[in-house]
Amino acid sequence: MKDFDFVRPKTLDDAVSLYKMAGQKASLLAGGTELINQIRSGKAQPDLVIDLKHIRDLDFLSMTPEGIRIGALYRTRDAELCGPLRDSRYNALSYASGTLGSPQVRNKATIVGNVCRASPSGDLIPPLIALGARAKIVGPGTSRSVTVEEVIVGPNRTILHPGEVVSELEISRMEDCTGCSYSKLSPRKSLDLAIVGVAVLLRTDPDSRCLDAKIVVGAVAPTAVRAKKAESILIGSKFTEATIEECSRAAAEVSRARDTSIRASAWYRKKMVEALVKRTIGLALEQIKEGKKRGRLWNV
Amino acid sequence: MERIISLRVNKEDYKVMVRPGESLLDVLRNRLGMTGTKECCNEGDCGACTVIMGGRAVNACLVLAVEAEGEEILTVEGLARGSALHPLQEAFIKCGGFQCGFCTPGMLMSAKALLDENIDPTEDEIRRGISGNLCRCTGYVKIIDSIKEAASVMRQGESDE
Repeated sequence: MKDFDFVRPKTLDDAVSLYKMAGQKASLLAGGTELINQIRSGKAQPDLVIDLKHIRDLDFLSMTPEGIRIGALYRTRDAELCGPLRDSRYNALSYASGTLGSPQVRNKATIVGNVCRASPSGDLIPPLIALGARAKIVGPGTSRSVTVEEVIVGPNRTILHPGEVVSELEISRMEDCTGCSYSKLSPRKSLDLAIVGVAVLLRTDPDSRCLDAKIVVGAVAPTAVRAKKAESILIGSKFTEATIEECSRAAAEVSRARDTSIRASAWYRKKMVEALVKRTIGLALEQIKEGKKRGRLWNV
Repeated sequence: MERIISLRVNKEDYKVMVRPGESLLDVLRNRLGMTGTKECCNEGDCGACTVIMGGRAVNACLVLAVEAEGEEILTVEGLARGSALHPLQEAFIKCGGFQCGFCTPGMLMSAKALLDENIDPTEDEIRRGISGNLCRCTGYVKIIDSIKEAASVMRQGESDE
């Protein structure tokens, strides 16, 4: 393993200025479950590793009636086990967190890290995009807020510049009669990447007509992708079997999976997008029902 | 770029010279001579190197030693009390929870982390608790039996106190 310097800033400002100074030769470490493997394999060769874990105030989850905020150090294991989050309308995030890696990996890996790593199969990315999550990006004297959808531009590529740190993710309040679910298909239940990951967010009127739909498919293209045509088929319609079938078929069209992948053939992945979208629409509708049933008990 | 760091392993403090690129696993095995923690895939996919850091089970191969400075680390060597084995170790022997034994230290540490959180886990919770540990011999059934047995012994111990 190539040698590097290692620093542990205690404040976000210090981390930003260290990162700015070192530029592209520096890597940020939060959970490190990807970075350490990349360094070991030589894919990443930083001169400086900036460990963010001692900026303690970045380890938080805040849930209020206005929405939720997820700090840069908040770990997937915490999201998986957090009672209030599991009991809330945002619980797709708990579920998606619980599908990632293994308990040991989840004990280190952060949600923000999953976004910044920008893996095509990242489990948190589809639900975060469906929920309209925005990343708060802090740079030297700057601060901007960009949707997760726009942050990720390719495999392992984001719009982040050296010196910029995602300090938190923000998700605005999900309206009533809205449900969001994530489904993951992988050969094993644990220690596996998604062959296909699908997040669906649906909002309905009291008459169960679809007012809004977001369908995000992971692991079948260089980034997680919105299936916009499929979304438009749902919006304004009732959830009849024919509509859902048509929508799922349209969603499968976003698959750009290649046969060169060792993990699944292009044909299989495409078929599975169709199956998973159908299933996940059902799960999101269940979520809406659950929300109606629980009313005020539906946490935040 | 070597540096001296302090590591707290099994309630003892060590000063050790490391390079930032060395994993906690490398340092435990090669610098501290604690070879109970096993090296296998070295990329976080098998769980053989599981240790407990700050109360959480982690893969020691995915932790930089410099990252572990200041953390409380527990390895399989720290489970027994003197010559008395930990109830988990006793249960693995009693129930035949291992064959070749290579995955056992990692299994024990995942099981320990699980029982620390939940002394009465269901079978599903046990399966999930060890879902980051691969065993190529046992088919897991006896490992799960062992963890159930240990949990029951430990609950008994608590109620006796």
